[in-house]
Amino acid sequence: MNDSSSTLKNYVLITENLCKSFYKKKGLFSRQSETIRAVHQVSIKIESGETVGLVGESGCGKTTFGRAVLKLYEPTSGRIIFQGKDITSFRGRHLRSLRQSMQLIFQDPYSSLNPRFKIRQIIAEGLYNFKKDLQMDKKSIVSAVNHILQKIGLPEDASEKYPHQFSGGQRQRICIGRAIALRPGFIVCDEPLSALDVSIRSQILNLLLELKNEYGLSYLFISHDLKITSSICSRIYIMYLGEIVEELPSTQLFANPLHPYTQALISAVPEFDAEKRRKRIILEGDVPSPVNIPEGCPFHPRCPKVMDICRKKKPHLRQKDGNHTVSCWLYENQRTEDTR
Amino acid sequence: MKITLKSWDVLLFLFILGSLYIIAVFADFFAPYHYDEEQRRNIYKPPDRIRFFDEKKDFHLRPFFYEQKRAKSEMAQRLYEKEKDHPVNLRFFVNGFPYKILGIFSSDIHLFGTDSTPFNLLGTDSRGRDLWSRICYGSRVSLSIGLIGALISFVLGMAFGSIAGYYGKSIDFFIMRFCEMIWMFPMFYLMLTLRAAIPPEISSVKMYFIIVFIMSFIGWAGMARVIRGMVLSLKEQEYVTAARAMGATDLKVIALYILPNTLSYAIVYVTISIPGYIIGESTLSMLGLGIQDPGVSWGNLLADAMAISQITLYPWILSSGFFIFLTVLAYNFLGDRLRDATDAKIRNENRA
Amino acid sequence: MQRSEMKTEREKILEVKDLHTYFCDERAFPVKAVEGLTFHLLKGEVLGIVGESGCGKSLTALSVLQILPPGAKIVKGEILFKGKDLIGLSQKQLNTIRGTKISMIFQEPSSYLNPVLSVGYQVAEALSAHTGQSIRDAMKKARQMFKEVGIPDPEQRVHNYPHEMSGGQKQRVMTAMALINEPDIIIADEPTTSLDVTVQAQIINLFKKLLKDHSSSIVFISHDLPLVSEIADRIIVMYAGMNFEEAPVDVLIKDPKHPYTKKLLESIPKESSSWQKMKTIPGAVPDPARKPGGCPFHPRCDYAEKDCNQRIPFMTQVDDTHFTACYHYEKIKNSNKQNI
Repeated sequence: MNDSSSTLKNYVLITENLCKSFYKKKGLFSRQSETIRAVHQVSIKIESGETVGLVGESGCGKTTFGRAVLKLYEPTSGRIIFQGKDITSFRGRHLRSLRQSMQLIFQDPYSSLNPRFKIRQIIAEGLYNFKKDLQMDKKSIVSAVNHILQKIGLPEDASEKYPHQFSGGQRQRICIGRAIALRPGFIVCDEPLSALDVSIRSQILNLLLELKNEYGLSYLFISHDLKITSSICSRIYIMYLGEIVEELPSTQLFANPLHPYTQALISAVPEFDAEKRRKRIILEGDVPSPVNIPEGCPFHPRCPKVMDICRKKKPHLRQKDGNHTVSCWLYENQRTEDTR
Repeated sequence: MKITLKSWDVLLFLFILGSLYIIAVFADFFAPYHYDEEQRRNIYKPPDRIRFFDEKKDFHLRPFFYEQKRAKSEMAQRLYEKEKDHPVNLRFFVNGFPYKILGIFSSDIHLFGTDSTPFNLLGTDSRGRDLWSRICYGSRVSLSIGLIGALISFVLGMAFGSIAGYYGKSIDFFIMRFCEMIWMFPMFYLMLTLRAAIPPEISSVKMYFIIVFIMSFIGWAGMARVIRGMVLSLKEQEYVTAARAMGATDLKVIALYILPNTLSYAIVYVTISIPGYIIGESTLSMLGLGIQDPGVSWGNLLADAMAISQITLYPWILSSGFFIFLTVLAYNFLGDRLRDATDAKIRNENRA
Repeated sequence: MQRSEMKTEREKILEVKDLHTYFCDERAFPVKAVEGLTFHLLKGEVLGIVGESGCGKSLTALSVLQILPPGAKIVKGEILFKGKDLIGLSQKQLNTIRGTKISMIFQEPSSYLNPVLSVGYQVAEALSAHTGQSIRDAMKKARQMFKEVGIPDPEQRVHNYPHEMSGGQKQRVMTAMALINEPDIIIADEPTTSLDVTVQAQIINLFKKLLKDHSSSIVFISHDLPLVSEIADRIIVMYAGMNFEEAPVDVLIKDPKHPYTKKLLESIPKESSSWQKMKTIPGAVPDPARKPGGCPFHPRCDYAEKDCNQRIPFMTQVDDTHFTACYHYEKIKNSNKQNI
């Protein structure tokens, strides 16, 4: 990483082999504790101004990853480089000042707003925390809040109301308003649409797009919805059991998915078109728990194309072509044959 | 079923508690005599009954009572005889001994009194002191000790509970083990032990604060445990994570985001724990380990009523026990209702 | 057209006429959660009910079985099961219908399974409660059902407790429980919403398979229009407690006649290489307690005219199988008739 410090600047976020494990006592009388490997050796890169998708099923560690990146969880190992600075070991005041430039939007607009705060207080939460750094007084905070309310499409009189007086969509707007109040450069969107009604989702997406264009934001868009992710992101990472199994440009997602898991995910998306439904790959079984991760390739027990080697050895992420990377023995073999 | 705080029984108990606290604050006004004033000639005088009808069944607008005089023959059973031909009118807003309202304004007006013949609403004790006046003054100690004790353990419990819950790990371990150590001892013996460590001959005021200290020292552990549990679940709430992501300091997160949301439950817990302090003080004082003569508290008043022979002869000396009972009942009832109401509120919030 | 001819021959197994279910509070005005809903279910048919949160679709399902949440009441209407009105029946009579003739699959299987009883016992109990069979005999049938709903190793799994199973497995258990009495109607209320995409595909596949083997009719309730379109023969679109449109699946998605349906279809994201503004439905789903007067959709509707806030639209017939509740449906042109 030393050689390319100039290129580092173009990336808003780089993670290198980021790991996060949780430990839990096995039982009431057990002295052993079990390891929950939520995120394992995840390396991603996000260019500034880019929207990158992270897709996976529930329990695959995508939420944990999103929070570890923001240092809301202490990573177990690995490095996080944010705007060219290694923030892995940031603590205390340094970490706090970092909050101005990186933010989070939550899945559930109901539980992520403090029910006892007025909208004015919620949006100004961050501004108050950094009042001194930003050199803001009460008056300028009020006008900043009004400006944000206008940006997120809420009337000015909303500021004196409480969260429960708003609908889900409006609450998500408030969450977004809170996140942009500090003018961050990077926002992790953790399933911001899944708790919303279908007819509201596109409104929120449009708002996110507007804000991105205006403030030059970069998003890490975490979702389980392939259609939405592919329609807004430039690149997509597919996550399975805490690991990245495929990275591909969003145009390739439906056209040319390589990993059997990605293929199955895509074919499971409900479709109007009967033609597409016919080619459906039905995976067996459920997502295994991150406590006992299968040996070899973590996907092998459910994989329709499983081979002997998958059970024994773990595949590594290999570049397929251009910016398409996949971690599967199917393609590893081909590659080695090709080079021969 | 709808649970509301505005039902008649809640209002009734609120009214009872309110009256008791008003009596405590304005004890000088409600008490016709000073708590230490001894009427040497009237020892163990039974309560004087307020009357509106005389012997001839004629109605008098002004309430009166018959003077009770010590009988000549000092037989144990009947110490006093009513002088039925000698009615004494009860007067209201009379001038009596001087005092200061709330310690500021001088006054000598009392709610009721007589010209010369002593009137004892609840009788007198072994030294001829008016029991009603003593109960009025005693309520100051007994009622405030519950509030102050609960308040102190509330503050301690909130502070330690939230720190233990929020930081977890070894801080949590130490605070919780300390709580358990306090819990491990039977409360009453712990109270006695702590009391025994303090010299017996100190002033009433000092004693008052020592009792408060002892009881809050024991009481905060329970509160801390409850708050810790709530904080453990609240800190996982997304708006708390959001606050952290927003760059809020730990202190701010605890004080603004976590504790206010434990408040409704904490208030219920405090309300339900107040009777424990009142009873604790009463017990200590009754055993002569708390407030001591000439100071008064409800428990101290009960100390007179420890021998069964005295209770059978002079049952009115138990009257402070009735006030303790009433207060404890009111607090327990209100606490229960408050809990029902907050539970219902929490349920509704979860449903919405 | 063949299809509609076939349908007229089939018997209407369930008919709901002008159903009104309100939430009645002593003090406030009643909340009209379901307001004048009419639909029917043919024998062997899958009827999809689509709507957003708060549109009354779940309450409709609960109304049919009359297992309403506290405060809710059927104020008006008829629910005809095989021509017999279920409203006004005693609890005892209803119990002979619930679970045996009409059974239900819920969204959150974990909250409907008793955590202290083994799943096999619970399924067997559902059978023995209605037939009077001994649990031992019922267990045999339960094992069979487990096999049928695709639970691997049914001999062992019947002894499991709910917490030992994954979400998908639990939903299979619920399905087994709903099917064990061979009901005429199964009402599935968002049966896959709490599941992952790949597991959802499994469950939908299971439903399709069961449809072939059993003669049950299904009411499939969901907010996900593409998902419902996969399994349903006919779809009802609900909004604010009312029926907005009713049509066979392919007609509905190719030629919607109600502006709301059209908008819903448009707001489904399309694959694209860059993030573009999407078509939105302005405003929010109305709170059932504060519904706009007239057509409840008029504040959000592009086609709204003066009279839309005056009168509540009734279902009008477009052709023999297509109904819509919009007075101005002729104005709607579906430019993308072919390309969906």
